[in-house]
Amino acid sequence: MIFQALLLIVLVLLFGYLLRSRGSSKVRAYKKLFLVIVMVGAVVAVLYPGVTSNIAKIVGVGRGADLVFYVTTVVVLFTLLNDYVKDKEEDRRTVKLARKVALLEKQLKNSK
Amino acid sequence: MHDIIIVMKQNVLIAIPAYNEGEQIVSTIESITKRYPNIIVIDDGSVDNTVDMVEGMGVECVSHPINLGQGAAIQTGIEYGLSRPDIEYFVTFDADGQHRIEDVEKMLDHLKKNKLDIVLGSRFLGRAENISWQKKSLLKLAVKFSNLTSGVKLTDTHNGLRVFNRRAAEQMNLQMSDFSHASEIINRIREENLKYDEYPVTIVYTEYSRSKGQSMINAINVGFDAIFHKVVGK
Repeated sequence: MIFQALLLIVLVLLFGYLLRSRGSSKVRAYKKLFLVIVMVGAVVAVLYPGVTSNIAKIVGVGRGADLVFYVTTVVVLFTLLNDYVKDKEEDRRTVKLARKVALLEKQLKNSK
Repeated sequence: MHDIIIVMKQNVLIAIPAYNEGEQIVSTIESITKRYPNIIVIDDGSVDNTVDMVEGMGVECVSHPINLGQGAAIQTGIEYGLSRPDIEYFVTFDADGQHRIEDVEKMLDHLKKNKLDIVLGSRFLGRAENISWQKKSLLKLAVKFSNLTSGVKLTDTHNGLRVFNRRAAEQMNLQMSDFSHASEIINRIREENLKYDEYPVTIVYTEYSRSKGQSMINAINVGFDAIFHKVVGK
């Protein structure tokens, strides 16, 4: 139970940190690392199904399937949030660009 | 006498965001030009004849190459005004004819007299004609939500009629492109310690403004953005 609480806190902090400091190369590196770990974990879980059960027992989340489910949920949630923030940022850039075009066009018209 | 009044208003810019408002824009502008010489219409990528109508009246117009949203249009209007050193006061005014120019006059006076940075129109201090009960309850709910989350107490949080000075315009820097800009402006008031007040205005809902208004379901987007902004800080 204590471990689960800790896990939740760490996850929330991690989410917050990664979402807030998007864009810096350090964060991008962490994200890749995170992805690689998940991928490796997935391969291991496929090759040795018993491993997930053992890890699940150690960290105290019940069955191996539960652990896989938790991890999947976290990854999906993170991806969703990350994409949402990215989308907003992309939007912001487009708006800036379009505004610049509009104002420049206006200047051009006026100077004619 | 008429000329003197116009001269005094030389430093006021009326910014009108417009998206496919060809039907209404002419009569909205006509109500303004008699009193204020500086108008900028921000065409937000309209696909109808909005731009032709505006330019046909000899009124200044900036055109977004693509549709960006009302918040983005307001920010474009602000940046246009900031690029002109003669502009000291900014007014945001809806294109659909729901605002009255008489209110702008009073709001400007109120701003100058009390040395405020921004004055927000309030239909709930003033009057909202022909408002549907659904719209009214939604707006009231939005006010409650905003007062709870923003720390700036207001009676009407989504009123398009605003008057502000150059200092407020410089701080505005609106990032939310869609209708969330209303909450963003309120956030700026708090963040930048802008001196603000509300002023009673009359909003007249017509068949046209009702058909043009944002759909009620969009409130969910606005609410979500506000909460998300609080949590993630973006």
